[in-house]
Amino acid sequence: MAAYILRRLAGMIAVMFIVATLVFAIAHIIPGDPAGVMLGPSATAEDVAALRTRLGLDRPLPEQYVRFLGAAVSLDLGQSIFLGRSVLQALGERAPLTLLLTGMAAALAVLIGVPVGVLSAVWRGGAFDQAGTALSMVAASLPSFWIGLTLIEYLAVRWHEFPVAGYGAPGAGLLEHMRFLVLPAIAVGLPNTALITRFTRTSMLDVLHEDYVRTARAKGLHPATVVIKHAFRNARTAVLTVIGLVVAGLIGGAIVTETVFGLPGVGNLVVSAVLRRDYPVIQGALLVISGIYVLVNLGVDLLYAVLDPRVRY
Amino acid sequence: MSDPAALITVDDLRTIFRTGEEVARAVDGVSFSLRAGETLALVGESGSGKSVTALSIMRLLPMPPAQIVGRRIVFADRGTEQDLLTLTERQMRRIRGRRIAMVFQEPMSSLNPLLTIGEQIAEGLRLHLGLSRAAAAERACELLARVNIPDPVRRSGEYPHRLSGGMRQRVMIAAALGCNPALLIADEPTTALDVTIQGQILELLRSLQQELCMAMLFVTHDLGVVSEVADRVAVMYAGRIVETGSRAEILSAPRHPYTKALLGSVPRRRSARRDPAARLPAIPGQVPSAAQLPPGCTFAPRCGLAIPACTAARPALQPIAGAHAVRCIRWRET
Ligand SMILES: Nc1ncnc2c1ncn2[C@@H]1O[C@H](COP(=O)(O)OP(=O)(O)O)[C@@H](O)[C@H]1O
Ligand SMILES: [Mg+2]
Repeated sequence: MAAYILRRLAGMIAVMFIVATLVFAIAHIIPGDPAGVMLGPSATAEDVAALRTRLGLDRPLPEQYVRFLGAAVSLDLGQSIFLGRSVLQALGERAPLTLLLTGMAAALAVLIGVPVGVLSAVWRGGAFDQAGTALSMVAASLPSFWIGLTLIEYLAVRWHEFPVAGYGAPGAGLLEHMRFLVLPAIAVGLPNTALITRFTRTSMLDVLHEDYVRTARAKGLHPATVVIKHAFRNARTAVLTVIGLVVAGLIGGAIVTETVFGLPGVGNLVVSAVLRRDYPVIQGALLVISGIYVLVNLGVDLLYAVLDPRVRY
Repeated sequence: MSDPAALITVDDLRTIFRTGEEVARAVDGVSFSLRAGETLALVGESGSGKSVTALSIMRLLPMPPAQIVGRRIVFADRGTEQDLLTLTERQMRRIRGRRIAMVFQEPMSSLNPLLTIGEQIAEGLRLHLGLSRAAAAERACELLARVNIPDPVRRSGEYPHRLSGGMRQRVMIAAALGCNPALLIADEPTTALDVTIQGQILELLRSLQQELCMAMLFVTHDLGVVSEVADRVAVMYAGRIVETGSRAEILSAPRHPYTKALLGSVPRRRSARRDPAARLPAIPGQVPSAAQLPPGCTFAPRCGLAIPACTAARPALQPIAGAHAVRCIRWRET
């Protein structure tokens, strides 16, 4: 197992190396001089030259590349051009919101999607299954922003149950922050709930036909034991795959979500950095987001190995 | 035909499958009984309704599409008689695995790949015998030793994928017999195994049966196996029992043309059982679909002796001598 983890970590480093190379390439392949683009058409030649020197853009490309990689490894992502602080600091301020929102949306999707999917499979064709199927179809086809705007309109604007937008005062407690994130989490969580429900249902239907489920029933076990201990145990690795995809998708989708709901998270940071051509922030954010993505994948694979004794390390 | 000493009496069992408009009569009026310690072999080609009969007794068929429409399965266990078909699901769960246990054909897929072998044996012991976790685990190891699994303590902590097919079937047997059931239903328990392993598993089942004084319903399509385990034999064809009698009567003096054909197609050399082609009965034609049973005798379309009277009415089971009976109007001429 330890060797397996080491091997996977090595693979992860290789992936991050490729990501870093791409991130570096993006800034340099795009036509035009980054310094000139950042400062805009009204900048003087001296200002541009000064920024080029500050960013190291006057160095030969290979040297820039090596420096960039070195900086990335030591998590020194440079200084933001506009925010007046380091990229790492800017990310650190924004990351809790993005992670909290992702966590809440994923928790909603898993806590509702998995049980509903399991019960739909068990009661296949029954009223619960049909209602669940219809509702997930609706939930999966509604765009998140529409759900979000509707929730805001009713729960926030008309009934004042939840805040309309924002994230609460910077020093507010976790619960207060979570209150601000409830509506966005529902908006992005619902389509994913539908996804997890459908997938859990399908995996459970496959498993419920297996011979070992019949064996479990032949032992006289309670139906709940048969379903949870014998059937779901075998469906959960498949369900885990979708959960991994959902979480990864939520992180990648943070850019859209945070823009729609006006939330000051990492996604929001990336959008404003792109608009202002704040290259160090763009590069740093891409690296960190990819890193989290890769970590989620690694986590899923390690869980597989823990959950299934047949997985070869 | 009710036997007062019977442990289980299956009386006119009818199980159908409804799929859309179609009704498949998979088991169409099967009756037999079994006494404690006795082995009845249920024999017939694939598709004749043997597994459906077995699963009907356990009430393990998926409903729908399955439906048991008749008539009674009387289980006379420990002085109380009950009709399994009228029990609630909850009452039935107290019988499954405790008083009637089952071993299936597919040892490779019948064990849960994500639970240890020990746990799969122990869970039934905890449920039905009320054993503690530790006591059940210990008893599971004893059972593994009893079914001749070497190094049972280590094995009990392993997962099924580490075991061969024969070993897994031993585990299934250990799990089935943990609560000393009165009746064991073994549905083709050796069909998926190598010949040498088949012999070992049969021997194991026989010795355990004697030790526990357990009745056994042994389902097989292999008459070679029948001669090794059965006290009595019921030959099944297209959802009906066409001939029943003692092992000697069926194997040496069969009267039904189908039984004769089955016996004629038993390969001479035991090793030929390895070869699936040699194992298949060489009877022309095939078992009719349960959805379209021919009128009268269901074997008539494949029978060399068929006359118009055969397809006119459903033949009754006619007694020959003692317990030997045959569902054929021309049995005297066979
Ligand atoms: N799940 C099912 N759905 C529909 N029909 C079934 C099902 N299981 C069995 N049958 C019907 O019952 C017949 C007998 O099957 P089975 O008892 O498995 O035969 P065997 O004698 O080989 O064990 C089959 O030919 C089929 O028509
Ligand atoms: Mg069968």
